[in-house]
Formats: sequence, structure tokens, C-alpha cells
Amino acid sequence: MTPDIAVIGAGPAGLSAAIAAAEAGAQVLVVDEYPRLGGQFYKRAAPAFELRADQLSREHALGEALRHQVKQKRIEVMPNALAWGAFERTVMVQREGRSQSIRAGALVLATGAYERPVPFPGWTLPGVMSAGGAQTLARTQWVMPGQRMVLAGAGPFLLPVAQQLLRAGVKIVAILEATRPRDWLPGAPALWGQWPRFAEAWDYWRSLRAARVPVKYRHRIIAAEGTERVSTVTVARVDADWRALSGSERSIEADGVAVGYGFLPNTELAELLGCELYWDSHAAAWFVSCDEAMSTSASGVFAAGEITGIGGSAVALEEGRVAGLAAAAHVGAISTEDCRSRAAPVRRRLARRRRFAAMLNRVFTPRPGLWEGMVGDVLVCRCEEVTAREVRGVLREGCTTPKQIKDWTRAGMGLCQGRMCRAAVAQLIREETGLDGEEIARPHVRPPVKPVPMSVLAGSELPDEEGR
Amino acid sequence: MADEHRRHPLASPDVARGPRFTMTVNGQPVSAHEGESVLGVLWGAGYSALRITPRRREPRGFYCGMGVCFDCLVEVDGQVNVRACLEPARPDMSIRVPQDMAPREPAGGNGNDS
Repeated sequence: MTPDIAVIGAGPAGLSAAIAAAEAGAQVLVVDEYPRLGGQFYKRAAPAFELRADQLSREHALGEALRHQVKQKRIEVMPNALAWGAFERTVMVQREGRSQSIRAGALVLATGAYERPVPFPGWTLPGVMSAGGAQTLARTQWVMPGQRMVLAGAGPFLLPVAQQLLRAGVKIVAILEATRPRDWLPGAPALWGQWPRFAEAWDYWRSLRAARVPVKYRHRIIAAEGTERVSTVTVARVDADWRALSGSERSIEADGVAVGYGFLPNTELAELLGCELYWDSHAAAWFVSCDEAMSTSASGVFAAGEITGIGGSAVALEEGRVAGLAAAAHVGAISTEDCRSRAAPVRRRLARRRRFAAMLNRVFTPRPGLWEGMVGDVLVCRCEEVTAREVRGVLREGCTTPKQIKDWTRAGMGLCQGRMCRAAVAQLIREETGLDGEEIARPHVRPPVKPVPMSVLAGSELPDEEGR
Repeated sequence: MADEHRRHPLASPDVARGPRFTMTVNGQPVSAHEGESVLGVLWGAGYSALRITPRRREPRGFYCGMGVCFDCLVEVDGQVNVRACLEPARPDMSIRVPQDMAPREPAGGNGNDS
């Protein structure tokens, strides 16, 4: 396949990029690993569910509008297709049991993010899940992740998750927010112009009030207990660094725990393509560096959405538009001047939205106490069942990089390919060696970026010498 | 007819689901609806331990719900390591999860890994 532009990821950034590029006259293909377009932000229950208007999420209308535009503009769509490798402007995709290569004139990477996993005692028990996982089960399956749930995290994402869970019939016994409202005051200036956010927050707040959900500020989850499933959680008050205040521990009965402490970007394809990354200390992750046209350091490769910085759908939609226009100019569908003039108003909106998103990242940045639960037998690597003690042990014996830790303990060697443990491992490196942020080596990315059956690789349609 | 099927204690009431069909879980009939994932069916039917880990023999359910964490691995129609959160439920599908993981009151006391 040789489209003008291949967009990898069909969330807000990817769909927005595809639509902008198609409007500019380019021939566009969108690739996504899920069966339905929309990524995480616009995930929806399958059409077979006949939902009432009051059961639809706030995002539903916009998600449907984007899907409709994709159809209208005859953008080619390849769902259920996993992009497992990439080089230059070719992407290797697994689909229907075989692998094929897609060579495009330009690539737009919009691969999104996933929740930052935070280890604590009992976090691997059935019933303990990420906030996004709880939201997905409730929204797309109309199944309660638990009948009595505790939500724990930092930042506004807990609000839509809580609303969705309430609608699904869950009793939320507590929301534990690590910060407190006073901590948000420095961020107030960035709220200017972001009035839709107030309406959104008010809508969620009303749902919580109506259900009388207790919100505990400056609280954190300490442990989950249970045998086959979580049955109680231990919570505690925390200080400004999110460290538990001893003596404040309380037990709450809960059969479901949703945990949300920020997001990590899926930068693997960008890394395979040689894109430069930058370290954002507030979001505490490596992101893809882009110029103002959303172009990465790799020629013909553009990026948009969470992989360039955690900014939510508001930023993703605008970055997608800019990236789509720039990609269209790159393949010659429109002139550079035309691209610049179309992108100008988008860039102005984008700057405001980015300011707001950056403020959220600052206010809700993870603080050291978040990782207090990473001790002893607590698993750091869920896949290979490697404990905090084992990782600290090899660090004390001289390991300093994630790769060395992987070689010595197997942490990062499992099916998730290190996604669940890389943040925790980096934190352990920081704690044991004093190295911080950019100083901590990044794990090397190699294809496939997600597990692919050998039968699929064996039957690969490999690109020829010209990369077709 | 409905009594043959396992009850679904965690499925939200008051939701119009797609056409109903039957799957088997450990040989037992479980009802499902078009548009549901294997995880949605299993979790709704009260299964929480979807697999036992190889090293520490501990139960796992699901964590990310989006195909990233590889916790929710179940056996589908003889194929192992299938992510329940991504796999669409289909008529006559045969699922295997750890035996005897029926929903029941926990034995009391603390979890086994803290």
C-alpha cells in the first residue's frame, strides 16, 4: 500500500490529522489497532448496544462527528491493524493474521498514551485497575468494575471516570485526590479562555454531589487487600510531597479500585523512526520533539497528540490539524504558504490549550511519596513478577540502566515490553543512584513494538529495495 | 432457560444490549451479547481471577483494559494468551479461566503479596 499520508492512531489527533490532510487534497490512510475509530478519548460501546441519550458520554457526539467526517472525505481506514514496526516512511502492520508494509509519502504518528502504573501492596489483585480501564469497562461494556469502588489519583481525569462509573451503577465510596484545592491556585491564570472546561467540570461535579460521593483531598491509596479479589483498601492522608502521614491510615471496604496518576506516551514507533525525544519533568516522561508544524526530527514524519506532550483531546485535535496540513504540504498536496495560512488560526488556539494543559501537568505532577509503596515483595514488573526488592538489590550491586536491570532481573522482558514497569524502574534508579530525569538511560526500542505471532512475521510482505 | 446461565451480578441494569447468545466458560454456559468483549462477559458474570501467574501463582484480573498490560490473558477456543479486553465475544466461543474462581466472600485476612 502506498498512500500519500499514513496516520497511525485513530484518536482525536489521528482523526483530526486525517481530516485536515484529506481536506487539503491528500490521499490518506488511517491505521488503528482497535476495531472502532476513536482511540481512548472517543471509545464507545459497540453499535449493538442501544443506548439512551442520557447514557452517552460527553465525548460521544464529537467522536461520532469525526467518524462521520472520515467517511465523508473518503479517508481509507484500516482498523484491527497493529503497527508493529517502522523505518523511514514505511510502517509494518499486522492485520488478519498477516503482516504487510505501508509506504507513505508522509507519516503522522498519533499513537496516544496509557495510564502511569504505580505499584503498591496488593496492586496486582483482581479488582485493582487503572482509572482508564475502569472507564473503558463501564463505558464500552456497561459492566461495573466493582460494586463498591474507591478511586485514587491526581488530577481531573478522575471526574469523567467517576461519572461513567456512577452511570453504570457503581457505588463510589471515596475519591482520593492526592492534591488539595489550595494547590491549584497557582494554575488559575491558565484557566482564562478555557470556559468550556468549567462547564465540563461543573457537569462532573454535579454527578458527584447528587450521588454524595466523598472526596478526600491530600489522600492516597496505600494498599489493597483481598484473596482472589480486592476486598479492602488502606488509605492515608499525605503531605505536600504525597508522603503518607503515619497514624492516618484507614481501611475502606471496596471490591474495585481505580487508580489514575497521569499518563505515559506511546513513543515506540517514533523512536524506531529515529525521532528525537525531550524530557518533560512535570509529566515525568519522554515525548516526541516537534517544531511548530508538528514535524519531528525525522524527515516526512509528523506527530500529534499525547506523544508530543500530555494535553488531552483539546490539544490533540489542534495538533492533529496542524500535523495533517503539514503532512499534506510535505507530499505536495498544498503549497507551504497555503499550509501556513490554514494552520495559523489553529496554532493560536493550540497555544492557549497547551498553556492550560501544561498547567495541569505542573499542578498534578507526581510527587515522591507516590512511589512509597514500592518496597519489599511488591511487584514492579507485573509480567515477569519481579519485586521492588529484587530491582533495588541489583541497583545496589551496581546496575544503573533499565537495560541492565532487565538483564539481571527480567523486569521489562515480559509481554507488555516494559510499558507497565518502566516508570517504576526509572523511579527506583532515581532513588538508588541519585540519577534523575534525563540522566536515566532510556530503554532501547526494537520491533515489534507489541507482541506479534511468529506466523505473522513468517508470512510478512516485506518491502522491496525501494521500500515498497 | 435463563437459569442454566450464570447470573451477571456486575452487568449494569437498565441497558439495552445487543442480541443475546451463549458462550461456555470452563464448560458452563454463560450468556453474552453482540458487541461485548470477552472481558465484559467474564467480569460481568462475576469472574475476577482470569489467570494464575506462573511464578508466584497469584490471581490476575485486568488492569489497563486497553490491550497494553497483558494481564487479562485467557484461553479462547484453545488459543492461549488472548487478551480478554480486546477479544470480541462470539457465539459458541469456549473460554477457559482458572477453575473454581466463582465469586464468593474472601476468606478474610490480608492479601498474599504485601
